[in-house]
Amino acid sequence: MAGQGGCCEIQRLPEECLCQAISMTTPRDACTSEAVSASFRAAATSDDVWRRFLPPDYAEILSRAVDPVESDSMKQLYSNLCDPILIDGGKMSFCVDRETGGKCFMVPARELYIVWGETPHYWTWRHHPESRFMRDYTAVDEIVWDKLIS
Amino acid sequence: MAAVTETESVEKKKNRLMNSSEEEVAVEKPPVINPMSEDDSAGAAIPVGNSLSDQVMAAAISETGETEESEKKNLRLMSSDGKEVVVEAAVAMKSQLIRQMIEADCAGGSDVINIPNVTAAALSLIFRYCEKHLVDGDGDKAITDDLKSFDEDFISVDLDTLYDLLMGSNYLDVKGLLDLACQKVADLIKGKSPDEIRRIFNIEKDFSPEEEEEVNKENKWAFE
Repeated sequence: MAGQGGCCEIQRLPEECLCQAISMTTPRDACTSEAVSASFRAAATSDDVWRRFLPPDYAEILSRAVDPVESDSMKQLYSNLCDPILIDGGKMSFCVDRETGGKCFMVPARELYIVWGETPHYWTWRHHPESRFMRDYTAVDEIVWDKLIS
Repeated sequence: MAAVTETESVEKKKNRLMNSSEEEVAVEKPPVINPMSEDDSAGAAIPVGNSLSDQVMAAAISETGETEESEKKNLRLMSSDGKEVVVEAAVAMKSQLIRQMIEADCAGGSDVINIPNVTAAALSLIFRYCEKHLVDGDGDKAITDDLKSFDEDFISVDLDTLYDLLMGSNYLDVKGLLDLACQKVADLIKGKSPDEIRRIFNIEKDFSPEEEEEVNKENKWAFE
């Protein structure tokens, strides 16, 4: 199959067809496709493609963001969401996995129900300076993992 | 009512055989529709008017059961390269464009439908796909597996044919085939470098060095 077809025959495809084909690859493939040619770049950067890479409910999740996420295009929105944002009043953070577009939620330790979590013998709460959550504390000391319930 | 003549049946078979690249798979015949006959033996109370639309819609939606092979409703299409393609109405109406044209009676009184953007060869191939997909998998694993196997063989074509199928299914709005063809192109792109993609599709690089550097900079993570 390689090397068949006349020179630049793929250029005769309507852009929407090329967009659909690229949207069926991965975010990484869409980025490398940009470097193929001007027409590939136009298709690979289109909102149609990157909207399909985003989670289907991205708009609903964005409505829960603590701070609005400004973006000029779907591709830029995707890139912005690869860095975590706070949602639900800061109770959770959300980001998108760059390779797959999968949803990643991070829950602060305080939101977890931990059996014996209030028992100082097993758990103490300490503030972590790099925590993204306003009131997050890291649980340390002896941990009984099979009792950890989220 | 247009009857299918023996010549037309043979012609249809010829088209199929010419375009078949693998052993013919036994295809469950689509429900054979009986446009109302004079003695009303079919029992349906669907009035058949004189327009192409009425005849085809009656043929497509009637459920009056089995009929003679010769009484199936056919459509005549004129391809972009000036050839007439004859196809069963039920098969052709897998194309949403043709379905809408028939429903809106856009044939303009003529029995021939113009398809200005698709060649006869591509039409034959597309309708071969449509005929196979008249049977819906719908939870039946044996049918779904059979369709999947058919699709894999069907889309294993050279690039020119792939483009024809892509553009033809896009124009005729045959969603299943469009998705299949786009997925094939996607599979050719996945995991490839820009140079490899250019080689596969015979594309000339038309970026200036500055543009290329800009693209690489914007998408640095993808090239790591």
